[in-house]
Amino acid sequence: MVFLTRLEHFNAAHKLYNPGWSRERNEEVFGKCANENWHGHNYELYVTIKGEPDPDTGFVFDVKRLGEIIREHVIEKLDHKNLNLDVDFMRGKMCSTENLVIAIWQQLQQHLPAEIRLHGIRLHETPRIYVEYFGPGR
Amino acid sequence: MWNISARAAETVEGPRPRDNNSSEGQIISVIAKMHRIFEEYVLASIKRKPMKKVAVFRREHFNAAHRLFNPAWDDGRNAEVFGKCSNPHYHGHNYELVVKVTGVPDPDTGYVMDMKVLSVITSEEVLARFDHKNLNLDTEFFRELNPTAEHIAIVIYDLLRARIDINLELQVRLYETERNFVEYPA
Repeated sequence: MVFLTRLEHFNAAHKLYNPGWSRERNEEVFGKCANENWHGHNYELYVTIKGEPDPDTGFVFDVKRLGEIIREHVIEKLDHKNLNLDVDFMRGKMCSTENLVIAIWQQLQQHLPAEIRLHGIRLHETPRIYVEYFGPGR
Repeated sequence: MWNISARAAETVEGPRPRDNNSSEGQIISVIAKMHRIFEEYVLASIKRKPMKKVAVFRREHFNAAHRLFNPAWDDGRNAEVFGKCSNPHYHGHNYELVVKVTGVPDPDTGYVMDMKVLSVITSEEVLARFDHKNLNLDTEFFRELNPTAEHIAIVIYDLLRARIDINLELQVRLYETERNFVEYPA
């Protein structure tokens, strides 16, 4: 078994703000991340798939093709966007890095070829803050 | 180098009757002398030229939203020139700021500038204004001025320049992403 990782990045605006709460409650819980006019990050996205190298190509999967799938179905939708306002798969969700990594997993599962086994996704919000997700129930 | 020199000096100065005339002892003695001459040269040059300039650096970071937008142009022209950076709903960055201060170390403290003071000034002037903010909407500077990395660096320089001793040189380097960064003054 070999684990193959592709690194992509995107820049986006967001805010942490629960519309069901008062402004004071949001500021209490989310602090400056609740700034009503948004703030933003350079996100780094690591997508890891796993499998045995193909005997003919030596590849677990064509990593160029993996990059294209990530860019088409994830990066195109997130890069230079407002996560709260512009992204269909984040609508109605809190735009935390935790929720974003789960949504990216779901997005990729739908569009990766059936034979590709997604292992994990690591998403950096800043150089010092990142989340990892290994799929439902794991 | 200092350790080797000290050890070599000890070896030579200590009671070494057996080695004193051997070739090994002579080599150690020569090396020790060379090190002593070098150390004396360094010390003398520090004393002779106290006006040596040193640059000190402080790194900070802030996260902010912005959009590139020229209010004198219509939306079409903005989109054409600034592309996805002009998204009306903004996007954002983790900005990394490197502040460079150059000057002669103070003879009493040995500091070019107290880094704690530089940190406090940077926090007050830059981070308090820009961190977790929308540069276009939340700051006075970029209501009219397009918040490109170039303009942000100039604004940061001006804010810091007003608080730092005029005898010290100042330069700021601002990273918008890992691969895109600017410096001012150029």
